[in-house]
Amino acid sequence: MSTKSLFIVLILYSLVLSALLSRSGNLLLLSLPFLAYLAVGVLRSPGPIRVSARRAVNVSGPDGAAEIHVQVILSNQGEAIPAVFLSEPVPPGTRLASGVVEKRVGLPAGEAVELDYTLRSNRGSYTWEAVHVCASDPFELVTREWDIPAQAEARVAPSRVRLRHIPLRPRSTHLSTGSLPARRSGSGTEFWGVREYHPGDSLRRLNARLRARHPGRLFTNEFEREEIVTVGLILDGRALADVAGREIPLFEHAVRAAASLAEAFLREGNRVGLLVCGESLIRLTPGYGKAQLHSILCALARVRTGAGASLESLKYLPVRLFPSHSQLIMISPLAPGDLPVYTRLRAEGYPVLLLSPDPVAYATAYAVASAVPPIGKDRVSALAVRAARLERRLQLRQLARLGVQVVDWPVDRPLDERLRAALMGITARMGR
Amino acid sequence: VRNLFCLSTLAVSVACLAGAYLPQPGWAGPLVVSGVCLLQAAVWVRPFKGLASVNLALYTGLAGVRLLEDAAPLLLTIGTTAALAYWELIQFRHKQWTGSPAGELAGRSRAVEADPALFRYHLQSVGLAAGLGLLLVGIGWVVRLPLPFGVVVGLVLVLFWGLNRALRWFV
Repeated sequence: MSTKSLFIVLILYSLVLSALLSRSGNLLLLSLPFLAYLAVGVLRSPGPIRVSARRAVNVSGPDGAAEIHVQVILSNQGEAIPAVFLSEPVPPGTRLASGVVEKRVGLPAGEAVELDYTLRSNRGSYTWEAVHVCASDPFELVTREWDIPAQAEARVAPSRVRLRHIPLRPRSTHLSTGSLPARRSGSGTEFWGVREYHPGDSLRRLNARLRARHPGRLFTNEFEREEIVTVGLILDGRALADVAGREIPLFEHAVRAAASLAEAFLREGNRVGLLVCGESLIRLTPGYGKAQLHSILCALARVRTGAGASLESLKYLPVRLFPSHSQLIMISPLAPGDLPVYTRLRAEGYPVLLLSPDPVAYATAYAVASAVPPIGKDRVSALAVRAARLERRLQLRQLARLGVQVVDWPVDRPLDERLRAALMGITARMGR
Repeated sequence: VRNLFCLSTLAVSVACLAGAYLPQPGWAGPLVVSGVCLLQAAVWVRPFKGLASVNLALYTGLAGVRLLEDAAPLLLTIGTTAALAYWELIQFRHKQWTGSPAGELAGRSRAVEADPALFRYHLQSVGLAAGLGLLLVGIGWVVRLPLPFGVVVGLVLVLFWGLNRALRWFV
């Protein structure tokens, strides 16, 4: 019984009992309008209800800030329903851009009612299970509520930046032509060395200077072979490694970086796999092409930081997920105590590149932006920031000593620029 | 149009109560009428949850008190019917604003679309209920059966039992 009908029944009973106690016929007459109201409500209540729901979801707009257009159609296959209240939950993380999410209508037999709305959303994976429907008489004295299954899912991939060629120098490559130097001679563009001329060598590749220096002998230029590589992207989704507070949390930058890297490597024909240690462990075996990019973006759409997440699972990396000697790229802000994980990965022979969004710079910028407390004027906070910076620098240095390529990334700087600057520097040092 | 119907029922209910109470000597009559008038106006301006129901209960109680003194029974019955219609219309209007039937969906970003056809149907139902109520009152007024008290008690018990069964069946 609804609150409304209970209230009317209470008034009715009170009037009738008062009339009996006072033996007043007028008071009994006063109860009749309430009785009539109740009777009309009950007699106009809906009969057997047969409705079905259909939902269509369409995602449009740029990744990272897409619009989700949702259309729900509720069809009545039974008798007419005097009043239908149709409501839709707005998933957390989205906001209503246009349209209505609740509708109160009368639904005649054989007709349908449509709910049309658009949500604006950042990265995320959103699911709808059912439509909440409440059918009642016009006074809502007799109500029936239920959920009609109408499932749908929408995924908004993270936004990406187009990265230029990433100058990695992997130890091991596949024997397929690609874009990364394979550390052996072959067809490529980068100069590799010079050897004695063999019959069949292209005359274009003859080294004129050496021929002049050594008359009677011929030398051929060799170029470094360019091949593809298996890249394993590992995204650190631990809650302790995240710093929130700004409009875009640090983890969101890491997700965008992972998406950008995946796109850049796949564009050049490499195999890319993904492992996310977040709220749930997400694994994607390495693959090629647009289908793999789609899978990675779908996986990245639904990643969330997890309080219980740990990098411990990296101790037992399945070979099928990341074959031995495949290039691992860790995207992690780095937390104290992470060193053993990297040590183990290096000991197993994986070349590791750490892309580390700088949490100290991020948090400092946030504190400066919000001006509480003012960094630099408050001595304690200034010392704390300095200590955190030193600790981070020390950690990065230890990792570099382990042979991990470190890219320290303050997120307010372009990723492309930081990657190139760091990797070119590392390559130059390796060359020396 | 909606507001016109709401205001009409409000005016009728207040006028009927004034007609029943104002002829009474002393300050009690004007005080009661002005108090109810203020409350009804408050319900109109800001429909607080429960205020409309409190107002209807108060109105019915005041009408009942005056009816016990056998003062203006027809006027008070019409006024109570109008107050009931006002209560229903104002609740409907309030729901059109806030959406959910019981407010259980509060807190989400919402937008509710009102349906003119539903409003017409609702208004028709309110009219039907009010008309039926007044018709029953009229019949009761005209047809006065002198029944013994025991029979009346028996009839009331039958009414309660029937009402209980009907509500269980439908609700």
